[in-house]
Amino acid sequence: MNPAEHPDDTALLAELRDMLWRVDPVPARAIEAARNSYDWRTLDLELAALTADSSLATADVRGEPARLLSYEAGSCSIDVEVGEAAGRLRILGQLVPPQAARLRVEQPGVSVEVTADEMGRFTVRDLPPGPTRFVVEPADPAAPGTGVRTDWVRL
Amino acid sequence: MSISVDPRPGRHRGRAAAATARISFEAMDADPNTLVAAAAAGDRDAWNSLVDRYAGLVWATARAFRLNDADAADVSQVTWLRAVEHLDDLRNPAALSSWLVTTTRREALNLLRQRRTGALPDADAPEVADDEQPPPWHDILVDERNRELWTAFRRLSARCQTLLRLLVIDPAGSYTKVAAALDVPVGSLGPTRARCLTTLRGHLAQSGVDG
Repeated sequence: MNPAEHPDDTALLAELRDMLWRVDPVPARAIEAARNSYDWRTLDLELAALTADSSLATADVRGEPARLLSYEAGSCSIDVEVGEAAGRLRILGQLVPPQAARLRVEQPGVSVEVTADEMGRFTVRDLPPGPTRFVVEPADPAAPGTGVRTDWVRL
Repeated sequence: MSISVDPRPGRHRGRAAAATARISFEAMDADPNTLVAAAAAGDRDAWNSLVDRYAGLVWATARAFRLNDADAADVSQVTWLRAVEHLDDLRNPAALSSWLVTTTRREALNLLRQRRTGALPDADAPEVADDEQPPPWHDILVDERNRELWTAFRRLSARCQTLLRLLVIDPAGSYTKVAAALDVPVGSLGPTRARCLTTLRGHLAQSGVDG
């Protein structure tokens, strides 16, 4: 036993475990949400990692009305600007290099289809806040692996 | 517990029957390495077992940052969604618990930063006011002793709360694992644990209960 240890530490920890289990158990809906995360597993799409998020920047750039995020994959990157009004999100997106594409904006339980124009621009309106990711569908459905999905981020 | 590998190829996007939220005790017996490998291979039951096993760890970590129910649920959900996407590139499946804690902590800190709650809470500062967050008496049978223990526990620093939660949630978990999750030297854990428990005893003594 560590000399600094109180002889009753083990008993107090056991009591703490019992207390936390009773007072602050994991809510059933959090467990269910965690289980259902598996529905969103994707294997055949390249991952575009979040590389920039203005909401995490230092104070001097805060106060900007919109949140700017960048995701990067080997084949393309996605820049989005997220604005909020009355608790709903409005997203302006840009695919780089610019290209027409079909996209899905996914949130647990919801999938919204949008189209990017030839300039690679897309817009999504009236989205609730929550965990969100973008999926760029493969340009050629017969060639999976060319599509991209972004990291999940709370928007 | 038997692990069956789902032979279905490709994505698993079907809306499965609503999962029951009951914690399976079988999950506690299975080897996490086996479960991670099986879940990566498409076995949904293995995934559910991982959730049953580690949901408490993720929740406890989010709670240690004093997030309320809704915020802790958001942070937990994003962490699990990301875990699904990272199943395949977890080089060491045994590191899943550390990965979960690290991801939860980062996400909780990001949320606090985005809320602009002023300066980030000092991990070593004692809890001063917790008024905005009523005690989550999910169980009406919580007795007086547990109420006092909870109140005393919430007065501990975030660092102490996190450490103690991690230690009690996974008693089999080694100090090495907890140290990796908290990003602190393993040698500091024993003394920190002793110090946190001493402080907790002090809070309990103030409330007139023996620690």
